Amino acid sequence: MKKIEGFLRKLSFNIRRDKELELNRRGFIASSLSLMGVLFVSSTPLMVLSKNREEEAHDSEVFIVNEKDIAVGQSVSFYYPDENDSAILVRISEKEYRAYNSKCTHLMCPVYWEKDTGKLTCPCHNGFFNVEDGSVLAGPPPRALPSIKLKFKGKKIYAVGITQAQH
Amino acid sequence: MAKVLYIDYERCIGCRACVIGCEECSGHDHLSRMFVDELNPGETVAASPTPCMHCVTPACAESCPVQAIAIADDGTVLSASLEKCIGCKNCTYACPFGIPRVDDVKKVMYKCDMCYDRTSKGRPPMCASVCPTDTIRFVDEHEIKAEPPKEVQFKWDFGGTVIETRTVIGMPDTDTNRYGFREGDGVQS
Repeated sequence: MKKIEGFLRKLSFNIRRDKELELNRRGFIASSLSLMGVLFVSSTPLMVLSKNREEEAHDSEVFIVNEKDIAVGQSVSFYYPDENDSAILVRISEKEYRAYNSKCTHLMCPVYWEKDTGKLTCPCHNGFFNVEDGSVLAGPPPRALPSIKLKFKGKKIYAVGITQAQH
Repeated sequence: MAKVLYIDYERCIGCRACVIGCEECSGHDHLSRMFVDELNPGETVAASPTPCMHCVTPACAESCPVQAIAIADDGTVLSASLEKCIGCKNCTYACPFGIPRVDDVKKVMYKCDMCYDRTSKGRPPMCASVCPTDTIRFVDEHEIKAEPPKEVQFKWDFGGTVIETRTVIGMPDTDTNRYGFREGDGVQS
């Protein structure tokens, strides 16, 4: 009990002159600034890691659709890399295709292709994505949709890889 | 080893040399931090010189809102720092011994700092140097607390709160003495 009281006294009363500078106003500011510095320095490995994010390669080639079965301006939904990851393929011109993971990055509602406006739309909270690169156009989603790499083999379209979006 | 004040009330003759000495000490600004109270004026010359008791857990320093009162390395409770003190008088109300005073002109608290200029260099404080009867002495703390020459007190009970002080008070021998005079061979009426 005496020890606890002594500890609390030491903590709350800054009255010893030899220890005065340990926690006065300047000491407090200096210690909080140095704590911020330590946190900043310790977060640099994470910054490097996030810059070095590699494309997730998957060995599996998943057949999506034949080229003749999808008209320009139409979309097809599929699953990649496994059955729990819904994805959407959009043919935006004669030779251009885009494929994205169709879970909205906000709350994972399924995103659908709206042909009239030319945007990928999430109906839950009015999130809109650019069909060209999956970036956010409007609404609450915090980051772009993960894009899926495509491969063409004899008029057939395969999904071969997925790239997590950069912030 | 730290040295402390030892005050033996029985030896005091009430000459107030300590008060004058305290006023003359450099840095004391002609304000005495030593108070001499007469115990029974007219009956006897017995008096009690009272400097700061230099508590181990000083209530004045703990109550100070701006931490103006500091404890030095050797345990001496210093007078308020002139830059910090705001003259709020918290210390005068907190001190159980009534030691801190406030200079109402300058609005600054002043109290005994055991002549820190002198004691930090090993010299005795002014009051102990000038005392003609050795009432106030500057002695080794451990020695006076462990092997006192007579009954001493340095722990004070204020309604359950025990305060230990560095200043040691020699207790009057109340069994055979009255107000410092021996029964029988003192002043006969």
